[in-house]
Amino acid sequence: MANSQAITTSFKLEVLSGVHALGVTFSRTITTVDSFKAALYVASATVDATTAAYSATNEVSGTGYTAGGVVITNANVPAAAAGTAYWTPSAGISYTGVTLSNSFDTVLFYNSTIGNRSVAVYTFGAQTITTGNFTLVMPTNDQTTGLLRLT
Amino acid sequence: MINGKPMLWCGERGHLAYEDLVYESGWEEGDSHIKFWERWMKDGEEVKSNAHVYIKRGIESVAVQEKM
Repeated sequence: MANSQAITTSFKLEVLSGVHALGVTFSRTITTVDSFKAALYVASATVDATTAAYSATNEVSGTGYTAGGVVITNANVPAAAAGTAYWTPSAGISYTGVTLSNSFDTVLFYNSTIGNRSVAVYTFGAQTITTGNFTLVMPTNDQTTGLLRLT
Repeated sequence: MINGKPMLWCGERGHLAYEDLVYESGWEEGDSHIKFWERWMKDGEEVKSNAHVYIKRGIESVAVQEKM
């Protein structure tokens, strides 16, 4: 055996659970699981890694869609394997009975408990929906395909 | 069924006879997703559509540690 430097797997996992605070600008007053939401954005928007929080600007609008999007089902606790911490929503995300006439191609996951702070952005190719359903089916929740992975 | 004809609910347009609609569908595959879409057209106008996206693989953030 020999020593080797690494960012520990436990730290990556605990980052996903809010255990560590390397900064002093924010303190949590709650100890329960946060609520997360998924909002859709039109294809002409600029939602990317610099997006710090949810905004209604360039969010889709239309019949059946509520600004802010839908709540993400979160029954999965973060887990780790092979040096990678990961987390995936425990159910797909559905927008049912919607008419979204403006082409959209992006979903923003954000923390609606903590100031609507952003988590991740996913794109899926431009789409419109007429009086129908749009669903996002989640990948397998593991260290290889999980929706959020810190490796 | 209305008057023995199968119908499709198309929101503001109400129930439309299925036989009057043209069905189209397709698959798209990107690096991280697969999308199935379907739509029903009447007289060249989309009257109903659905889309389902399977996220094949989420996003990975690689932790970088500088050597000491």
